[in-house]
This record gives sequence, structure tokens and C-alpha cells, in this order.
Amino acid sequence: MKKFLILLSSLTLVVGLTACETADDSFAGSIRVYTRDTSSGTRAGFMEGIGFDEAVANDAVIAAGFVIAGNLDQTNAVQIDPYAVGYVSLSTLDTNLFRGFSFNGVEPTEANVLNGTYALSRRFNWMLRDDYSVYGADAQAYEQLSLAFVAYLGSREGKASIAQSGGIVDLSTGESWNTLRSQHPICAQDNSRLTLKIGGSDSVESIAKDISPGFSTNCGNVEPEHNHTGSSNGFRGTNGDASAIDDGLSIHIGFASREFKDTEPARRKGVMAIDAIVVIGHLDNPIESLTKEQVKSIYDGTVTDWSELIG
Amino acid sequence: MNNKALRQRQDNFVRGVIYTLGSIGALVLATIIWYVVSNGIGLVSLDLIMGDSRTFNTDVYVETAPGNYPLEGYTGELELFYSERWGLGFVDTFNRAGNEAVEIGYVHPDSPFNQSLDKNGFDEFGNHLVIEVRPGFTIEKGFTDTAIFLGRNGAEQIATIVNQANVIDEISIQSRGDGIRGSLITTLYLIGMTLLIAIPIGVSTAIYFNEIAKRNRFTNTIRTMVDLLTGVPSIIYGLLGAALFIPLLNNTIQTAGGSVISGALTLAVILLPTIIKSTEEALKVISNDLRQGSLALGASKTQTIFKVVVPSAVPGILTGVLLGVGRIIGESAALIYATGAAIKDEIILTERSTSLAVHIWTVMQGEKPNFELASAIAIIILGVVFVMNFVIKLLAKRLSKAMY
Repeated sequence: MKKFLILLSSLTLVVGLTACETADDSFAGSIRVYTRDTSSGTRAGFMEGIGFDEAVANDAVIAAGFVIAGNLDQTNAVQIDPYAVGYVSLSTLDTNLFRGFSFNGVEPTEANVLNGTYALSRRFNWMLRDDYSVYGADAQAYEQLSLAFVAYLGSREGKASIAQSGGIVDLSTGESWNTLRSQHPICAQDNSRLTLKIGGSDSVESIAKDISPGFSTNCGNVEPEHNHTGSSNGFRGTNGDASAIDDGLSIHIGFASREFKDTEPARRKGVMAIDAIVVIGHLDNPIESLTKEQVKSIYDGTVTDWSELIG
Repeated sequence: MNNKALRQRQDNFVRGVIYTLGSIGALVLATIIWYVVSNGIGLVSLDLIMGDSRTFNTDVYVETAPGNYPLEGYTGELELFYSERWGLGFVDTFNRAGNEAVEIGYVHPDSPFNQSLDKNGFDEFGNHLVIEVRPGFTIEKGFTDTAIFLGRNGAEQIATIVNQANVIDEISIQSRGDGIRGSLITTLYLIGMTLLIAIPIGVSTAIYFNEIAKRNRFTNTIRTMVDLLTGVPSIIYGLLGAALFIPLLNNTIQTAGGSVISGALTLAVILLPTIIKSTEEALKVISNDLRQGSLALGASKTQTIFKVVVPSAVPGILTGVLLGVGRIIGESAALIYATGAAIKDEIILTERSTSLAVHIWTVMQGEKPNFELASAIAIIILGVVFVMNFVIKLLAKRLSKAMY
């Protein structure tokens, strides 16, 4: 009996400890800043978009007390912490769970991104290998398949697939693949023995994986292989230090969710889709719109309390 | 009396602390398991475990004009959005990975889609293959003479667009992949191959250290180094795998980049210290009487080692193996370098692939982390660990000649 009582009391103690929570009525509190890490393409796009270029690759200039967190952690944080602020891709925005602030007074919607009024956006870029000769007898086939793939990205069918998985493209333009296909005779052959390696940015992974099955059936059943490990590996795997055929990161087509840098040259590159970045906060946050300067002042630490932004 | 009451109070206090901390521990562990299971159990199915990861796409179209096909005899549970002019109904549902999807819910018996044509598939005479569109097919996108529709538009909107169409240029039908069969098989291959490499080397090293080598400064140094190796983070071994094994295999058996074999070799290096250490501990506790008894009966030293000492140490060795299996299943950092993160359906040992743990990492990457699928894979990993535990315990019982 005594044992039981001790056990019971200790259990209630544990439960009591975890149930402790404080409530706060007024909306004024120090802003908790969340950011992605420096390898993230979303971060580069965001920091450049708010005019805070120094913070693209440098954590030291960000407001004191900032937290480095991935996508999932950020969306969780803004559901729990009323004072949190973070940023995610528009495709991740769920307005039922957290707030997506308007940027310079423009609501974050696909239509606004396409008509150019929503300014906080970035481009998903692709690049091809300069040198396919390392593939020996298959060099020409791989080069033509890569070219066909990027042509498919711009076709009506490719664009629809991109839009289906959350990329923002203008569906009103784009030639039918039936027409474009004639310029890519490789797609009339049986390519099922060839593996087209696609990689780079992991932000692009879900879009790329949704396009490749359609491309495969429309281009001789070539086998797509995806290895998405980050934007910087988009260049490294095609034309950089990891492009050697025996390297674990080597690919034929590399994606980046940011602009390729001057140190990342390639002969053939282009844009696949646009992605908008949305500044997010808690649903209890009464602020609906933030200007570019306000967002920058939050991230560089000039503004540290939400009350400063409300007045 | 007073003294006794005081002592009792002290005892109760200590016991209270133990119970409290113990229940915190139990509660934390139970919460984690409950959290993972409650999130993932909805997606765990034989379909997920045995399914292809690759999505297959078919583009179909029809050459006939629309007609009038009134809905008859739909018995499905989901709300059907139906196009009478084409005899095609759509439903909103969820795919294997827990994402929203639109599926065909109903095809009228006279609908032209019973005889739709495959845009990219031809028979031996060069005619388009005929495809019967059936309920359960997932819609990715489609093009009509008036509009484009996408799966994410939802069943209602798709049905409206389809019903307005006079010509259907193309509908992309996909059998969604997201199965994890390839990753499960890769994990099992990795376990098998790694143990095949690591056990003979590890056990032999331990036997050498404990039974044959003299204790001097040299062997002691090596022993300390083995101890040190157990604490090295696995990402460093991953770099070793990438820097040593991948080029080695590329130049000898012509692999291109990472492969399952280079992953197994890397893991074997990671496991060696663990297996050496646990085998050595198992050998140490075997009583010297046993060795001396065997020698006294005329057995040679080698016979003594392999017929008396090692069989008695089997439970200890297998404990090390069990720890190793756990390490293999849980390893992700090293494998991203050594085997890659490419999710495959057909596993070829000389090509890139991905293990279950790395599969979780891949699923949680990107703009839309899929926590449900990650939890489902976690449950399957728990299942594999459980089965492995059971098998190894059974083996230990069978093989053991231990005196304890």
C-alpha cells in the first residue's frame, strides 16, 4: 500500500511538472528569430530578398538569440511560440496552422508571385555538365537525354507537373511536348538501359521527383535516379570537384534553389520554376503585413520586440 | 525508536527519488514510442513495405467524342465527382505516403476510357496500346481542349473541367511509388555483408589479443587504440569510406561512385572495435581452468582455442554482434557518403542505394518533410531490430557451450 502511494505521488509530481504552462494576454514580447542554416538555398533567397546580403553566409550578423532550424522545426515553432518569426517556401505555407505575413502589403499567393507583385521570391535553377565525354560510348546519349530533360521542363507537360508539386510556373505558355519531342530524337529510342542522374538542391527534390516519371515515359523509358543533397552539390556534382564519374555525388543535371554563384560556372543553365518565400508567425500574432525594411530590422536585431512593429 | 523512524523516513525519501526518476525515464521512453507509433501506424502496410518507390507514369488519351453516360451503381464510400459526358468519376483520397491525391473512383461501363490509348506505348505493328482506365488510378495532370487540370486541384474541380471538355488530349495517370522495399532490402544486405566481413576479422583479432599475443607495450598500445576507435563519430568513418573504399572499388570492380559494397565495408570498419571489444571481454571471463583442463587432456593450443574457449564465449560474441546490428540499422551519416541517398527498387550491390535510416533522412529533407512516412519507416526499423534480436538470441542458445 505504501509503495503504491509513493508511486502514485511521484507520478502526479511528474505529470504536474509537465503540465505547467504560463499564459500571457497582451501581445508584446521579444521576437524569437528562426533561420535556416547557411547551406540552405531558402536562406540565401530570403536574405537577399530582404536586402540583408551579409547574412547569407554569416550567422554572426543576425539578431541576438536567433535559432537555426529546418523547415519542420520552424513550422512547429510558429505554432507553439507566439513570438516566433521564421520563413518557409510558399508550398509549405498552411494558413490554418500559422500566419504567412504579407510582404510590402502583397499577400503571398501564386498569382501574386507570377504577376511579379510579391517580391520575396527566388528561382529554382538547373545546370548541365559541360563534359559528358567521361561516359565513353554513352556520352552522346547522356548529353542528349539531359538536354531533352531540360526541354521537357519548359514544355506544357513539364510545367503542369512542376505546378502539380508546388513549383510556380506560368501554365499559359509552354509548347506541347508532342512538338518539342521532334527536336530530341533520342526520346524516340529505347533508353531503358540508361540511368539519368538528377541531384542538387533538396528543396527541388519533390518537384524533380514528380517530373521524372512523366519524362521517363515520354523519352524512351530512361531510368531517373535522384540524389538530392543540397544546392551547392548541384554545381559540385555536374562541373565541380565532385563531378568525376566515380564520385558518389556525380550527376547529369544539377539543381539549385538559389542563383548559381560566379564561382559555379556552366555552359548550359536555366530556370525551372519560381518559389516564393513567406515570413511566418503565430496565428495569435495580430500583425498581418510586414515591409522589407521591417523584416530586415527583425533579422539584423534593430527591432527586438513585437510591440515596436504594432504602433 | 526515534532512530528507526528517522531511518525509515530517509529510506522512503531515497525510494521516492528513485521511483520519481524511474517513472520519468519510463514516461519519456513510452512517450517517444507512443508518438512514433501513433504518427506512423496509419501508413504501415504490406503495400508500403513491399511497394516500389518509383512512380510509374502513363499518358492516355481518347479519340472519341463525348457522349452521355449517366452514373449508375457507384458503391464506393468516398464522395464521387462525376463527369456524365465522359463517364468518368473522381474521388479525393490519400496516397501511400499520406499525401492528398485524386483517384479515379468510377468508370462507366460504356465510357470511352475503357478503351483509352497509351500515348507513348506501341504494339509490334506501331499502334498505340489500349489501356483500360480503372478505379484506383491516380491523376497527376491532364490537358483538354479548354483547360489544364492538376491533381492538386481536387476531384470536384477536375470533374468540372473534364465535363466541359470536347477533346481530352492527355491524362497522366500514375501508380504512386513511395514504397520502401528497396531500402528494406538494402538494409538487410548491409547487415549481412557487414557482419560477414566484420565478424571473422573482429573475432580473430580478439582471439589474437587475448589468447595468443603476449602482453607487452606494443599490444597494449594497439588495445588502447581499438578502445579509442569505438568513440570516433561515424561521419569520420563515412569520409574514410568515401576517400578509401569508393575509389578502391571503382578501380577494382568498376563501380561508379558509392555502392552497397562500399557501404558494407565502411560499416565493417565501424563495427570492428565494438566486436573486438565485446569478444575480448567474453574471452576474458572464461575460467583458466577450462584452458588448462583442455591442454592437460592433450589438446593443442589451437584446438583449445577453437573447441573449448571460443564456443564458451559465443553469448558474449553474439552480444557484440547484436550491438553491431543496431549500429548498422541506425547508421546514417556514414552511409550518405558511402552508399548515397538514392532510393532504388532493384538493388544492385555495385550501385548506389539507400538504407532505411537514410530513407528517413531523405523523407525529412526538403520543403515538405513527411513526418508520418518517417514514423512509419521508424516502426519498420523497430520491427527489424526486434526480429534480429530474436534471431540472434535463438542462435546464441543453439551455439552456446557456455558454462554459465
